[in-house]
Amino acid sequence: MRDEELERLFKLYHVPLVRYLTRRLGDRDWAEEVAQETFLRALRQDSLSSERSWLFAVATNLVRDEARRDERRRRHLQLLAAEVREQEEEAPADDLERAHDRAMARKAVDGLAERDRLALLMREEGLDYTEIADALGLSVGSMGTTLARARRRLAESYEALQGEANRRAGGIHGAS
Amino acid sequence: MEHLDEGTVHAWLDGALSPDEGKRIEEHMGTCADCSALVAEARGLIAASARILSSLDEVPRVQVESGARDAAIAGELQDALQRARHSANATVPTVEARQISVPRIARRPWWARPQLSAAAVLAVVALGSLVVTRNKDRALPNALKVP
Repeated sequence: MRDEELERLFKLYHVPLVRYLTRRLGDRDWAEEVAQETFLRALRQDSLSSERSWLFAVATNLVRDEARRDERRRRHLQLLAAEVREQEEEAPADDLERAHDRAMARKAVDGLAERDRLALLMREEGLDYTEIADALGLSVGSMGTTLARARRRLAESYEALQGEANRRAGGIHGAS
Repeated sequence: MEHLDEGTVHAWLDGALSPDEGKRIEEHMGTCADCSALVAEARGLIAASARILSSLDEVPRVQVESGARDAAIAGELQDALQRARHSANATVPTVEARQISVPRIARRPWWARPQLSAAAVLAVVALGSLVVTRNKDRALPNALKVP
């Protein structure tokens, strides 16, 4: 692939790809590394016919393969993320609330079936049904049902976590 | 027309159905309160999902040293992007650099790194002092030559 073609792809897809990976992994540095490796692999192709679905498919597979290969590094990152979360406990109230929302969102997203989660994350980046189906090896006809299920479960799970948090907060205030 | 199922409603709202199918759905909604309610609920679920997922975008940076492999990947990609930019800027005045650091897509602490668009990433170049010359006949300095 020519360098100019790579630059065009990078300008179009780097931001949404990193956002997709960050939402998938919960780690922006890891997301950027995977994105870089994805673009490097694109550079080694002569051309790409369905470029967006190709990029998202390769990135998704890299995450899957890297997770299997590099379990140790992942645990290390989780430990470091836990340290950051501890530091966040000393942060101002607004930051704490955002961190709390993020933690609930993380839990709700991670609770989805992987296929549903990936389809939803790709849809949020603007991939159409055909692109998502190509990237994940699914049928286009089932995409509406898959996304409906994912959105419903995500919203319900998040609402349940919010309810639980409110009950705990109510219990703490009630006890004081 | 039969009542709508949830999958069809989401496909319609996602723009995945044909114009004819969309028109049939709109006509049906005009006569069916239950299906109208289903569509309203689906709109709410789509908006809620987007909001929930957007809260995942603010992730604190976890500083981990890049491995040699990651640094090599970043270097190779950055070199290709730089070659593309130099090729596009072939007619601009020659820049004689006294000190240039080749930019790398590197890890930084989150507080030191603003949100960067792709264009901004390409444009991040750490420069020392530069002397811009208009002498187009002068050869590019070695630091800017493509290896």
